[in-house]
Amino acid sequence: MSEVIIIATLLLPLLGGIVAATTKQQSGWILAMLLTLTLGLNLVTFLNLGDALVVEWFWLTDVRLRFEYTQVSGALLMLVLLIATLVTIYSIAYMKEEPRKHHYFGFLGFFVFAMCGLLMAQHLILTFIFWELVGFASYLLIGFWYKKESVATSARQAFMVNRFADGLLLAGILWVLGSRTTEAWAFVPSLLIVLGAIGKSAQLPYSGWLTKAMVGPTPVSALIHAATMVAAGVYVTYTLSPQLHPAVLEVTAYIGGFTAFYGAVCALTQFDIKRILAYSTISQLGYMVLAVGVGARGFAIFHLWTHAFFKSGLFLGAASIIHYMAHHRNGDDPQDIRNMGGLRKEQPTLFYLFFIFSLALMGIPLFAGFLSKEGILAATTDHYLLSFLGFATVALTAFYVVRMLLYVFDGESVKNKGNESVLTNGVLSVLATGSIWIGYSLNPFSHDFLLVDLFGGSDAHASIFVTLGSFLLVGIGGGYSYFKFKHMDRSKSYLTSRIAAVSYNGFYLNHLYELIAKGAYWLALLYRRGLKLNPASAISYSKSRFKIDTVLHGIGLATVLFAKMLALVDRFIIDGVVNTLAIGSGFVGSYLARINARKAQIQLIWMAIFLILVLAFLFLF
Amino acid sequence: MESLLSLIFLLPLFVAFGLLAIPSRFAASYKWISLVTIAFQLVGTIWIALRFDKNHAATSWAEAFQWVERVPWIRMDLGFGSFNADYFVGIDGISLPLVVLTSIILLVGVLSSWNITEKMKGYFFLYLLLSSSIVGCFISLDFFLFYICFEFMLLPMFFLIGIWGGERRSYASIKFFLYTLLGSLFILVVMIGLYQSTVDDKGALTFSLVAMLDGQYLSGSVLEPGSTQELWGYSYRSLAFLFLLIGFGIKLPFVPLHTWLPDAHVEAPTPISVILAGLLLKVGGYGFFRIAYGIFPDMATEYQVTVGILGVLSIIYGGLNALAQNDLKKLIAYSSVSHMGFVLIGLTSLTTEGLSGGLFQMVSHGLISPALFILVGVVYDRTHNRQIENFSGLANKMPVYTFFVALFFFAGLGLPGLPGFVGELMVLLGAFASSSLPKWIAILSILGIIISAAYFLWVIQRMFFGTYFVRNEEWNGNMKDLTSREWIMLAGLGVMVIALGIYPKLVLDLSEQTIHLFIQSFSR
Repeated sequence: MSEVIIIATLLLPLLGGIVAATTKQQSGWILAMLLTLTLGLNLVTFLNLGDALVVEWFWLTDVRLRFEYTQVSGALLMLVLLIATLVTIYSIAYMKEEPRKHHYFGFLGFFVFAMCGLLMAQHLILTFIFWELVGFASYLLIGFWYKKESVATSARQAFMVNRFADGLLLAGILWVLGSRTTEAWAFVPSLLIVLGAIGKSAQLPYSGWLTKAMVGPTPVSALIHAATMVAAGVYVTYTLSPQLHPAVLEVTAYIGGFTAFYGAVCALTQFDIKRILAYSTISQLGYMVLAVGVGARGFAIFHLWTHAFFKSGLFLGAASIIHYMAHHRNGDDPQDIRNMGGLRKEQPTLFYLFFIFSLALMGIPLFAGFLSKEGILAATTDHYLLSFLGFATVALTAFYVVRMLLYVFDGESVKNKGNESVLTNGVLSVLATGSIWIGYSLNPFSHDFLLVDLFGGSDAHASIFVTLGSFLLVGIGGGYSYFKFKHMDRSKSYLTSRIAAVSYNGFYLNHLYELIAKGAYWLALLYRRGLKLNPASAISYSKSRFKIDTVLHGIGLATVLFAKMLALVDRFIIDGVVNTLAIGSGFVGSYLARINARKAQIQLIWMAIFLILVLAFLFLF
Repeated sequence: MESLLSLIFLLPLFVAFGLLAIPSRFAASYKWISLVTIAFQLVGTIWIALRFDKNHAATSWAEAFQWVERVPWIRMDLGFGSFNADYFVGIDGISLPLVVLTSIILLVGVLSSWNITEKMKGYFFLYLLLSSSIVGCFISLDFFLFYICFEFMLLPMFFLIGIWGGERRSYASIKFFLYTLLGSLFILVVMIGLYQSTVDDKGALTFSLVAMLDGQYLSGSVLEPGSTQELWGYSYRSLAFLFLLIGFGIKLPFVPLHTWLPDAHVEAPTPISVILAGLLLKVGGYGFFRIAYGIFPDMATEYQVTVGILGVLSIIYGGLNALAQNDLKKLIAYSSVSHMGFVLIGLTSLTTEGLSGGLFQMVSHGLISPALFILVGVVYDRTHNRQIENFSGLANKMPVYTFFVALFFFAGLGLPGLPGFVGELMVLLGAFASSSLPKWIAILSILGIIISAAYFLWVIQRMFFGTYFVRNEEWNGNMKDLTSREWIMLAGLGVMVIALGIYPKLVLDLSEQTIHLFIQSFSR
């Protein structure tokens, strides 16, 4: 019986994707139906789960690949399937006018299949297989509107950054498998695994790809680049953390802490609503990685869980906003928050829903984000730096969330209250339910959750100081933001204030990358000057400004230029040797041929000389 | 049925000569005759594969082969000794997957030759000759027979590139010929040495590969293990191994012996590129398995790191060169160098995973690279151009073509679920599991996977995504999606690629027992 459930969980979404891709008109509803079916099946299984269900797949000769349906994977499967179903339903409305929507739903089904496989994989190789497939699905969906050059570029860059991290992960996995140790792993392979796994979670130094991924359809951003795929890195680090080397866990914690802070600092100054949310996601993922690193494993996954609800809610809300902006406001960029304003009157239901998600993100009591973030902050109290980063991020988060809300919803309305889509707001309402405390515990200040215990618990317990401290910081950050932006001049830039000075440390990191990137860039330019090569890549590069991911571009460009140089080496040196040999032997041959063709006397002379030489050799030596 | 193996080997040869007798008035029938012949060969191969006993466990190579046929062939008294060569064929788990691959790719090759119009008689005559000799290479158990087949591949290939090729065809074909001829000379030397050192059960000198694999050496001969005779400070056995390394390394090819490959590929017509990438490179790999590593396991251990470095060099250098190319066909040619490097890594890991992974990598590359060359042929047939920068946004005009490009490109870059991943994974698994191979070799090989993603994805982005554009307006009328013939070839290969990626045991089960026997020779 167990086989049926695991196989059905895997194949129903895949089947949904395939059927959706082949039926043009009703593709969205077909996928939604099959996903709901899978969700129902999982709900029933989860509630009646005794021992873990196991399926083994003899894929290679000596490798038994195991799928396991445990309580942990079951719980996360339900989360993924629920959000995937909601996003699919939302997309039916959102993608109504898209001619290639059947491809879209096909890719979506494939993504859910890969994600379910990843959650049930119990062998490192199996994890890696689905890890790659998830990345592939993400590539397809980021590049969905491939006709735009920038979209195609972003899709490739996002995949390449992931691929680089995957290479490290694969090295770590194979090292571990090759050394055949099961318990504690050595330092180097552990480090490789962590440095690879955090790539999908857009931690430093990979963070750049997530903002690139925002060119995909916004519901996809909600599902893949906020709720599920990016959390895969956290999940894999989480499942492997008992075996990882302790020193590596410490490194993980610091990466997470710095990323949380970095993401929040970057989100402060963005004007594109999707980029604000993307940086916010990077920051929140940083919290989760931090939690895994300091040993609060249960809270890491709990935060993953709550974050999935409110962040996908925020993204879907942003999708509604962008859609509204594009259709009802004449103007430039529908994603730019400076063009928005006054939407509270025009879209009141959307406003209230978006407000709930925002409060959850800030970590206000009574909302889900508060519950999960508390546990993580409590676990950091032994480490001063991590603690500082964690708490500082709380204040920064409140600041950018309030800023975003004021920009989008406050201010003068241009129009009267417009129609609101019941379908999309219905979806958002379900997500909002998952964003308040009631779904997890009746007591809004509780610290013991069923989910946390299920996911491995945490030693640390939040003291009253943590709760009060974080609440105070939310107040400071949010309040400061409120007074700063409540009566702002929308045309003015607010980046020159003291906030920029506070965020200086974050930018210091940025400068460091810039420096490395510049170094790589100038090195590349030096090469380019020496070689006359097709400059398309170099030009497209110089147009892009230096950002966090410039270092990766720099490496990429330097690699291409290095490759071009190698090609010349191949052409002229290696092949040159071959051709020189050929020409040389041809020359010698023709010279010898001339000797043969000369007159008989000359031939005789040559013969005599040769004979004398041979005789001389024989007598003398 | 017992001589079925000889039938699939010799049938194309006989048909080739039969073809010469058909007057040119019936030129249209040549391709049909070739198609039927190769199809028949494929049916025979599949029959053999189905009847092949996968669980046949052997303790020595003498028992390891199935479908064995052996008759005395050449018996000559040379005065100072005798020359005894047998017609000796048979298959085991290493050669069977490659024989099946050969028949499949040869069939695809015939289909992609459908548009050849000039000198059809010569073309199909040479093609069938080539078919026979490739199969012969994989099934020969007599070194002399192997060598003859190995040499005989050169001749048709030389003419097929030199007559039906592109602009610089004479340069490319002569280069190909000289390069591989040089390699053959190295192999010839080793063959003579081995003949002088190996005896059969009756004590007579023999070319039998089986006797060589089982190590039946004449005591006191130069190539006997433990022989103290040296040349230039090397034992004869290590020299022989190095010679084979060069000889088969040119065919494989590894860096720096690869420069014939891009030229030959770029100038060869599409079907010949298909055969070249799909099969000829595999002959080199097979030579490594059967002869270099099979007969000289002690030297394989000694030169483990050297071969590993050559493999890594090919993977990274080939990959970076592919990244730098603007000609799509050249890019794919260099990607072959990179992918065949994994075969070397698998071999030199000297582990079960590595060896079966190396074999699997040959089969998977043997299916993927022909498809890639057919895909290049599609765009070349329509425009007579294949510079990457001359095209953009082809996905808008040719969606089915784009689908196949994506499928085979992702197979090439090693997406799980497709066979490229399986081969690379197993090879790397072996490389990491090997206790004697340094870890940095394994880690550097992984770089190859990252680089391959870079060049394949870049091509997809530049040629297929973005807005539709072709450099020359005259091409616009030709930019139609796949014809049904192209579709059949690509869909057939696509189905096989997906099947092999999802269920790699199709191949791995065939080779399991043989690899098991093979691996024991390294621990002896």
